[in-house]
Amino acid sequence: MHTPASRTSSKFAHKRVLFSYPPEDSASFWGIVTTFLSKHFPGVDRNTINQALFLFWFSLIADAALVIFGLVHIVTYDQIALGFIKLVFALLVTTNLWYVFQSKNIAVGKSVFLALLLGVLLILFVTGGLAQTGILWFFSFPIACFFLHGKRNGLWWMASLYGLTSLCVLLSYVGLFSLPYTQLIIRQTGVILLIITIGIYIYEHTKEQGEKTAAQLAAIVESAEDAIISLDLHGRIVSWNKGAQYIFGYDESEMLGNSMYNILESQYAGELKKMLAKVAKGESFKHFEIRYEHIKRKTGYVSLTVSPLKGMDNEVVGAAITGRDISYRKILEAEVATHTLQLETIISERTSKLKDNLKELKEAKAKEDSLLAGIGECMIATDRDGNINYINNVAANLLHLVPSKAYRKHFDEAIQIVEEPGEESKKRISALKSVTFHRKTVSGEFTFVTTGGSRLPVYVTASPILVNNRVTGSIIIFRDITQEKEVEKIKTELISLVSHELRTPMTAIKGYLSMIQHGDFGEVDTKLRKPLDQVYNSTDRLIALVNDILKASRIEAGKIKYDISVFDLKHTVEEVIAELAPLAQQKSISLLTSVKDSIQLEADESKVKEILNNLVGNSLKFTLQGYISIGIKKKDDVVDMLVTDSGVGIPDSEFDKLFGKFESIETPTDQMAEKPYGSGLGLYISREQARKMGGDVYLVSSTPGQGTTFAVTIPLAGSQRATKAKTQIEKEEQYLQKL
Amino acid sequence: MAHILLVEDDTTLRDMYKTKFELEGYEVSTASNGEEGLQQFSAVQPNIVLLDLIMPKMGGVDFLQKLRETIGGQEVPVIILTNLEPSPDIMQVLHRNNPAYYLVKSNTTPEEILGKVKEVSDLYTPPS
Repeated sequence: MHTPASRTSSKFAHKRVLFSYPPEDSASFWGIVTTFLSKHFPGVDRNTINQALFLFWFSLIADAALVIFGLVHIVTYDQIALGFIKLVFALLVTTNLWYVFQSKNIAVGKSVFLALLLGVLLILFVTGGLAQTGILWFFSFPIACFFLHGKRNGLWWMASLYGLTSLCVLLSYVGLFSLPYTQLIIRQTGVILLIITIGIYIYEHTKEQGEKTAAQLAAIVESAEDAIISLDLHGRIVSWNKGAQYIFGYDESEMLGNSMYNILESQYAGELKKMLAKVAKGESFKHFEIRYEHIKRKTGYVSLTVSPLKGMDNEVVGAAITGRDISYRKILEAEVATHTLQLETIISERTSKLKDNLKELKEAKAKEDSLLAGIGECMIATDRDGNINYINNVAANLLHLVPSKAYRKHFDEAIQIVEEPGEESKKRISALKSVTFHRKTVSGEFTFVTTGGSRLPVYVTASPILVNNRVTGSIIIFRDITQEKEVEKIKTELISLVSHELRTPMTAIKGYLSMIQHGDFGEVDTKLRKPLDQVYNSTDRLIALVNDILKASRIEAGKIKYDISVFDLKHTVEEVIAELAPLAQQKSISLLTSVKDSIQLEADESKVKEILNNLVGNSLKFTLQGYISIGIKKKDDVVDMLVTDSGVGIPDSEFDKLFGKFESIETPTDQMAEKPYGSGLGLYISREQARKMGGDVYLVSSTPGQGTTFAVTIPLAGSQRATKAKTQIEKEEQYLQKL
Repeated sequence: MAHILLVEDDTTLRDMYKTKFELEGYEVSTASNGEEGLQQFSAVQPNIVLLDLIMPKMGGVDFLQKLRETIGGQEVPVIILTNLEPSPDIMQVLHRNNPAYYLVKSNTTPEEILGKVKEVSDLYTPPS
């Protein structure tokens, strides 16, 4: 096994001889000099080396000129002093050049050189040089100063030349010496020099900008993470940035001049070769993904973009390659592919499991649905917020609802409930609608409105659905009670009719009997008196029974009329006592009352009287001796009338039955000579009527053998309770009239 | 003695009341329905009317309304004598036509009715 490093080094060992750097032809004269200089000034940039080269050649030319012209002056005995001065300057220039190469300090050397040149030029300006042509040497100065010092410092040097020359002209005016040139020549030379200066300045400026841009581009290319490589059309590498070095592992010095094909696997090299042939015709290629071998790291992947590089004449001179390392992406892709495969397996397993579950659920649901559909009762289920999530066919048919439309609708929206007059109906409906809130089962008769708008009496049971003591919804079961209502109505009507028809013959019996007893048909035999009395009493009982039944049926049908007015209870109590006093006297029972003052009540006086009559009458029936009293107890807005007796009492077990219909109460009647008669409707009727008027009838206490106390509650005149009861009665009457 | 018009469809009751009042010395005319009652009223001009409510052909309520439109019928005292429990609507109609009493037959003996008749006829003096 090769390690990447050893494999690579052996691979490139024979190729290093091919590398040539610097790229200039090393055999030329310039090449030799440049090589010499770059060796002499190691670590110095190309620009400075060029300046050194310039300084070297310029100094040699200046030396040559100065020596030649100096010697000519001396040999021809013309201006011998000037000849010597030129030789001195030549010596100084040479010394400076020597200094530069010794100290390697170009900065100082170039300034000294320019100062010497300035001096020579001023001497030539004042003396005229050979044949008065010294001023022409001025044109060499801007080239030297701008090249050596750049555009800004170059301008300063040019300003110095102009300043010193102007000083010489001024001095000649004051007569210190005479200039060998005419004014015209000086001015023309000055103007031409200015034009040359401006030209060179602009050239330097453009060059500097170009260099700056190139430097920036180079910096960008260098710092890029992506590989940026340029090739010639033969596939040789011309440039190689840090990104390329990072990706492929080779540095610039190794790769420049080497063939790109050498670092690629043969299949990619072949492809690249084909691409380059096409790139030469101007085509580009994107996302050419290749595998590469790094010297030290593992094999990676890079995505290459290959596009043509064009020269000045817009002809393709090479190819630019940018490469992005996609090794990490490839790894991720591979991982994703693995995960996807695993996921697919898991999903397919789960799906098949789900399918099984779904099938089971469907079966269970079908079973449940058929069960629910089979129930004769109507059923609606809602979620916690009251939205319908189930409605069975019976319910939908009854209410003429389309199940799919009712589904998800709110119960209130889907089903309208008729509100009857009065607070009670409102309360009942609101309780029915909020079972999920108060968590109590609500049941009772309601009237629903079907989709067609017709009213439908129903018996409803609404219960909350509790799961782990959390309400998850409600279930509403109801059934049509139209028929039951009909039957009830017929029953009430029948009772009413029968009672009425019974009354007529009984009236005749009672009437004739009373006339016989009264002696209207002659004196009654004393033997007949007792049986006649019994017949009469029985008839009365029969009539009372019929009356009670009739009244109860009328109460249920709401057909009893109440005349609410203010009356004095004292007066009512007096009347009741007066009416029942004879009977009490007959039984030797004292009938007492503690009502001595006026108390204004608000109710139907005749009904209150009837109720009191009934209660005192009951007491009379069940009291053998002692007393019956009517007392009162005032409360906030009502009065409790207490009817107390010293009668046989009622056993606890019978309390519940007291106010029922036709309930026969087991009283300890064994002590009594005969069982007292009652229709079993008296208390029921009394209580219903009292409640209608905003009051009540209830058992306060009863002890067998000691006595019983009943209470009748009736609202005080002007009390809220009385007003409320009155309003309610009026509303109900209006409602009944409408029907 | 006052003249009573008894409008009652039940023969037994009609006979019973007739007997009772004649025994007391009243002059009694009878009718078995409202139509007959109106004819009788015009014919005999009674001082007092005892009126049943539920009758064939013409009931007591209609009779009373017509009676009040008849000459001499506006003022005559009428005692309703029925086995019908007073319901609000019937009472309303009756009330407009000013009956003297509303008695439930089964709860009242002939003797008691006699008392009411005496009371009413004492208050009412027929126009001469």
